[in-house]
Amino acid sequence: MTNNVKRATINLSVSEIATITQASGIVTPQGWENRSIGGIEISDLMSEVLLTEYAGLLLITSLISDQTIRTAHMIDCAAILYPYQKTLPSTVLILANQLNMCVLVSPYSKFECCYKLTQHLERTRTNAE
Amino acid sequence: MPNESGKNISTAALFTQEALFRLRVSDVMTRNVVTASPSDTLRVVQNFMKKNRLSGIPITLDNRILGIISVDDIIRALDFNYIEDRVEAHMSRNMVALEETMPLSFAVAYFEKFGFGRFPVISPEGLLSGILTGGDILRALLQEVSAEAERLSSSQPHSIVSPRALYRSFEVYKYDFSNAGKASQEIKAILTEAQLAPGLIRRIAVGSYELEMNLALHSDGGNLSFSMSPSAIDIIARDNGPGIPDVSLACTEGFSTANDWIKSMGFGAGMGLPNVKRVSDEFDIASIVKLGTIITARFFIPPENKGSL
Repeated sequence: MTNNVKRATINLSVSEIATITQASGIVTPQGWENRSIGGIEISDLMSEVLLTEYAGLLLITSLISDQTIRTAHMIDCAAILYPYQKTLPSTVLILANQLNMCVLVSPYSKFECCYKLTQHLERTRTNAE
Repeated sequence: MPNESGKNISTAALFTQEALFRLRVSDVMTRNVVTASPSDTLRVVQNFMKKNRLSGIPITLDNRILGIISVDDIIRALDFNYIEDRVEAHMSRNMVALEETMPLSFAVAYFEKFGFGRFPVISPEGLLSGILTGGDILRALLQEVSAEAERLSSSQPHSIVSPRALYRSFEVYKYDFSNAGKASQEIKAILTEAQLAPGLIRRIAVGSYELEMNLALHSDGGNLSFSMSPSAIDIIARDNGPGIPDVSLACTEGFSTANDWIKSMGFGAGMGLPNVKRVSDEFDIASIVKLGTIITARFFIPPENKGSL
């Protein structure tokens, strides 16, 4: 299974993501804080998300639907992050809970979430050097 | 074994259904076809039929099929006294032919739809390569069921796939956006329970989910089936139309017929079928406009995983 999509790999936990983006967990399966994030996908197009090759992804999206949760479940996402402090309908929350999917909500926009995450990764990289 | 409607279906019936999806027309057809040429007389064809105990004979020229003569045509010729006429003046030219690569389930649908006793089969080059009768299908299914029964009875207990995991079938309804994906969820749960490698499960789940969404968003509704043997897993999407006019175009990345409503749901970007092709080890698609489409995605189970099944 190979494709031409290139993604930067990172190494963060879901709790670190929550801290960086000031997100709160609204569906928090057991052990969610320690789930490892290996990459980030920012998309509202689930067809695109399904091209992902590896597990442990953080999906940043504005698309609120059962299909977002199912898509994330199919590719073994570690967590979904919604921007703008979005309110999710109970049906979506129930499905996320049922599928053991961690859902975070951040007050920032998608761009700001990405900016903060990139800043953090840059800082970590510089410190390591 | 319970299916989605809660009815009990025997393993043999489920296996038969699976075989109908898995087998191709070319696996089952009779290859040595008795043919006649357009310049032969109906009397010659009558004698061919009598000698070979056939009820219909294709008429060919350079192995290209031009028509067909049935017993009814011969009886009519005898009744109206033109049995010495050349075949070309009386053969049925309005024929329906099957293609070698069509799944057997398609052929069964043809028998039901047209009520014919036999269908000529053509190769990808358009040449006559065989003939398919109801008897051929029945014989093949009986062989398949017997072989499976033999395999099950001779297998060691640890190598038998649990009946629950062997075959599942799910109905998928047109535009049923809220339920689409539930079948793939269940398939993923079965694979997880079978302890397949996570990467393989993910590939199968993605392929299954893409096919399921495809059924819900682009077809008039259909069926998603899952079958697991010790060596491979098949996901088959079978729909009741509308069919795909240009299959190779539909498999091209970026090509989509999705409306804005579908796109607003995060799908319909023209990546579904190419993605199924990408994640699967074998991919096959057959489609006939107005009749339907059958897509098969096969995933091989590597030897290191087989012990867990």
